[in-house]
Amino acid sequence: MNQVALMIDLERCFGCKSCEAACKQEHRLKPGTFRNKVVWLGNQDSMGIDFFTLTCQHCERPACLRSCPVNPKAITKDDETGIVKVHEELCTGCGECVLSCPYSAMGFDEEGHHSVKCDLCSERRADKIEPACSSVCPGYAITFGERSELLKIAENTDRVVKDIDSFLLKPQTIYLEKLRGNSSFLPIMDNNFINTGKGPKKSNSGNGPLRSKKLNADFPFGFEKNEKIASRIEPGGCNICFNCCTTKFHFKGDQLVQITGNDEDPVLEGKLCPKAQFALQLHHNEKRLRTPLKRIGERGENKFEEISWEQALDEIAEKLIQMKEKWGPEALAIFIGTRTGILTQKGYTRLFSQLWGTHNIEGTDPFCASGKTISYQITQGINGSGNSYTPTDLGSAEMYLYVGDNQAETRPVYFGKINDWRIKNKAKMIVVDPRQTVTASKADRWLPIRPGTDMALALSIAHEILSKNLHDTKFCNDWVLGWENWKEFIFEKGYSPQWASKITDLAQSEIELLASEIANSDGCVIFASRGINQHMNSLQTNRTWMFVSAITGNWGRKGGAYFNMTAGPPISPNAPTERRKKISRPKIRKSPVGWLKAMKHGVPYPIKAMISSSNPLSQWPDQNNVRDAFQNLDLFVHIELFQNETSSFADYVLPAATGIEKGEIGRSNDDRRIVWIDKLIEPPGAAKPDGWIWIELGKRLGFGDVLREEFKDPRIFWDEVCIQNDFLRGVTQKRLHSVPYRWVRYPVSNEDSPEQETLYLEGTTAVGQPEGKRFPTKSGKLEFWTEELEKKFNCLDLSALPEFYSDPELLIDLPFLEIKDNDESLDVISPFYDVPTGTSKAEIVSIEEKSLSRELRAKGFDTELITGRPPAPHFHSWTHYFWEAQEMCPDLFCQIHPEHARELEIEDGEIIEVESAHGKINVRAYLYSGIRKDAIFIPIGWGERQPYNPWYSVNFLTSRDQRDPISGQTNLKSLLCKINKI
Amino acid sequence: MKNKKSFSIHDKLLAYLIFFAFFILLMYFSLLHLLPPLWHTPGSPVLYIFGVVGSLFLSVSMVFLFLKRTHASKNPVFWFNCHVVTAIIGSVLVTIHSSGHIRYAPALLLVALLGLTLLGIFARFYISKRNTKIFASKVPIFQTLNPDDKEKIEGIIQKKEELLFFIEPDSEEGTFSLCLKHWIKYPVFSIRFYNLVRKENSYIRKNFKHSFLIRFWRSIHISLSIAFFLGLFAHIIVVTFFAEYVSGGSEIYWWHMSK
Repeated sequence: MNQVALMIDLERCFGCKSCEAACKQEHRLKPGTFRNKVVWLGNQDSMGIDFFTLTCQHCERPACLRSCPVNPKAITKDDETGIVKVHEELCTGCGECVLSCPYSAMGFDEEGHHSVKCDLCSERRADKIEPACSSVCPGYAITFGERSELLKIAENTDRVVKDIDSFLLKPQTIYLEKLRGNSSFLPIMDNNFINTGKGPKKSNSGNGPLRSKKLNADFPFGFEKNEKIASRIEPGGCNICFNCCTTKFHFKGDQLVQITGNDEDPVLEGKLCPKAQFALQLHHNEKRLRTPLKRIGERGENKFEEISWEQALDEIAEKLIQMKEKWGPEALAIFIGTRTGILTQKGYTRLFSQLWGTHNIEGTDPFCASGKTISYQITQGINGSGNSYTPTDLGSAEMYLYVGDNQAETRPVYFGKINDWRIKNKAKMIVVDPRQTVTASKADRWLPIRPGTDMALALSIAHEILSKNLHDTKFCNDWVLGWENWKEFIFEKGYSPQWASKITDLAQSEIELLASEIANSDGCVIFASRGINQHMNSLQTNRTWMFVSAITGNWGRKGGAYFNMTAGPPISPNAPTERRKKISRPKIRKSPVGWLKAMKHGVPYPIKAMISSSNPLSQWPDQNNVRDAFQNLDLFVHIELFQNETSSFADYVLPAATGIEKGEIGRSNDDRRIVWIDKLIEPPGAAKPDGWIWIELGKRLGFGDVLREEFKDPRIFWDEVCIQNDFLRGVTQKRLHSVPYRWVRYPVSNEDSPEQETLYLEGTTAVGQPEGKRFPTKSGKLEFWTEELEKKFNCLDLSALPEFYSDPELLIDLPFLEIKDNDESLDVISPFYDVPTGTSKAEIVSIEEKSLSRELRAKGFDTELITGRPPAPHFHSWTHYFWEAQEMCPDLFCQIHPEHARELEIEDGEIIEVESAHGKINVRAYLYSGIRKDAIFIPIGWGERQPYNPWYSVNFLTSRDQRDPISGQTNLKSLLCKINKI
Repeated sequence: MKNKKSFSIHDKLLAYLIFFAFFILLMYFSLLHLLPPLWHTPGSPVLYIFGVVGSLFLSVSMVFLFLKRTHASKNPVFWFNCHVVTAIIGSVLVTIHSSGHIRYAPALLLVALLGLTLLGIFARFYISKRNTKIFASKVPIFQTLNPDDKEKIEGIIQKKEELLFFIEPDSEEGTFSLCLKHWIKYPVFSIRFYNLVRKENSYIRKNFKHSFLIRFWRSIHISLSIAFFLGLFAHIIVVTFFAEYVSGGSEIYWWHMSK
């Protein structure tokens, strides 16, 4: 017998649940029915988080088979492969096998009343395809093959096979032990975030949770196999998150029946996160908006009537014209999130705003990443890292340092590659984060830094490196402008590890060690993300970490980088100059929450209308004020996929198409890959692509000569409008469609230009620059400090040399930034943006002078609140409309340290109230020892109008005023709060 | 597109059937006092027929017990569905046949029938749901290795192998389980083997706390059904062959074998 089996590597698994999603999709399993499941494990009394993929063990002595009373057996063991299989057509659903399996690996279909279990995808194997779970696993944690061969692989890589045979059943699934420590094997939150049922389902305080509903699965889940046998397969990509996974869409006729990874992709190799697979639940979803709606009740009441597109667009256009005549074109604000697609965000709406005449157009950047965007621009000349996820580039690093970047949960497929390279190359991984995130769970060391002090850590690391001459002097001299000014500055300020230790709450020795490790590694990649972006010191923190990367020579090389997520493709089309409306008033603020006073009080000038295509009434900070301001709009148009909190406030709700319903590129991508997604299906009902909506609205406003009818076809819009620059000119439809994986890595200046794996290498010239200019700055070098830069910062009363400050709400006294001009003022115009934009002067003040922190602490706000992304199955609001994401992670939770919880007499799973100076909400307590004792973490994305498990958004607790005046970035990562037991 | 995965009777349909059965019984007992005496007397020609037909339906239901344990059925799910439907119809007919006479010995059969029906409904609608929750609920077992238990299980396996030599020598212990033919052909060995199976299961299942009903509902259901059918058989024999005894000297108005 050639026993086949799965080998599951506990070191590589990071709990993303992609295998679970793949299994459910492959076998069309409905809610509650499982063939495999990823369980999160942890022990409240000791730090650490582990993951365990449970699946059938295909035992040599299968207890399930022996317990089956049916004769002939409904469960059999194959003589050739050793696979234990349940024959569902013979199973009468007595459940004996479910009870008898000591591993609890036997599933049950409560509707079909029969057992279900893993058979290692017999139908796929018959077609010579590996099982669904192993094919998608982003962590390379699941391998399928002959058991004897798998054991050889384990032996050759010095891995220990875990002994799990407690009952002499001779289980055949191979589990590889972790490289360090033992797994706890105690499931977190009873069983993996599943609603514990503890505490009230509906609280009396009005802060949630609200009613929850039974999960309801649409096609193809619960359908017969023959309903989903594909007759054709089309390549494309996922448009949900920034990992931009390449996919294959399987069709039976015109019906989308399955989504798998694109195994022809040389970078991602067919690996997928669960979200890409949930896209099936996006396109087959009864809850999708299908018809334009017009409000008939009060704002927020959610009462609408269905109207035609003609009526909706005619009325909106008429109201816009009236509004323009009375208040001017700048009274229209446009908020465009990346959900709408990059073509809409950077193409259609940009042209529309130029033709209409308003600078008040913005995306989600000021909430996510504007600090790093401007940091890259002023330091490197252009946004984004020049490195790639290839074995010879990022895969060749000796060290990976994650600072405020939980890549394992935010870009799981990329993390899977990094983690795989870490293990294969024995590279070091260190994570700096107030939480022991999933990323940190794989690291050699986790440094639990105080929120908001990453800048202090970077400054002290630089101090240590420069004071011990560990820096790359040649690189600094040749390719960095102003590095010596900065060196003098940090020495003068005394930003030593000793100084930083008190601020960051990290040991001095730890900081010194980290500095030497960064400097001495042959290739160190510093990953950073929202953890450092979402603070008031966002821009300066990003710059200091960039500087650390640069002085150690980890810039413009393979295996060395400062890597702060996605850059966004350089698409910036312009309407012909003569057609562009002269705009007389500047953009009020970079951040849309800086527009609230204009919406509510009409200052500095009124905003009377808004067109929004994301979910600001869940997403924007300080929800109480946001909702108050939205009440004052004369016209609010919402373009969306699902009814949500924002649409309930809208005058008109326009149903949008997405992904393969319209044709577009994937979201902004970490490593410059433009992933093209063809239009493959029709949108649900009367829903329309965003581009179609903007063109039709534009026609009614007289913009039809620029927003042309043919641009409704995204392929024409892409080739003729979006790629007309040196970076993208070669990313044509022809080239994108010439490869089976549908992506091209920019810059490629023409169709024949080769793609570049790593940009800014020594001896190269940056795109569009004169020969010899290695970096796309004016000087051709990285710019730490220049007189021109200093002048720009001086406009805001600040200096280009990053001086340490933190956020205004902290548990210790630290310098913070005092904003001098509020959002009613347009006295200061920022020198950091392409369009004139209002901002504020600011001053770094010490805590002795003024302190919001002290005031709040005196009122009992004794805990630091961190917000951020939930586990991998979720991405903002829309995944909350997918039943499977809800099954995996249903409730809004609050990670709280067990000691802290014990002091407050809070139990795991209990519903608690969290209150900040800005609002309060209820959440479910999740006792977790991998978080700083005085901090809590609450994820984003939940909203009170979601269909399954509605909770109020965490943004009822955040502040709109705590913004970086240079980048407009809002602090969402360190706010004071208190916890009230209900 | 409609969900076509329905080789089992859908819960909703079954719920309607149960509701309809209860409705019929409710109507019957509510209107009983208005009906002619024929409908009050279990042995009357009408209710006699109800009893006979009801028993036949219940027998079809009982057949499932044997069919699933022998090679006789190629489609046990079909027979399971028959089991469910005929049990409900049979129960209604037999209950009407009793016409509410609960002070006599055969009322025990009604109690058993009620227990069987309720347990069946409970299993279908509640235990099915509980079974889905068991998946991945025993993960801590992956770190529990008890060498003492392993040693004891090893001993049990050895004894099972020895017994298997007599019961079915060609079978492998790891995939063997007793079925009806073994119980009939080798009752003693089967009992001994069964006891070893139970002992092994006690080690395997000792760490898992399932509720009493989840663990034993099938045993109770089977025991109760055997008791019911033995009682039914006795009832048929007595009313057919010992009608005088049953009537206590009164009129015998049902079909019987007279001396």
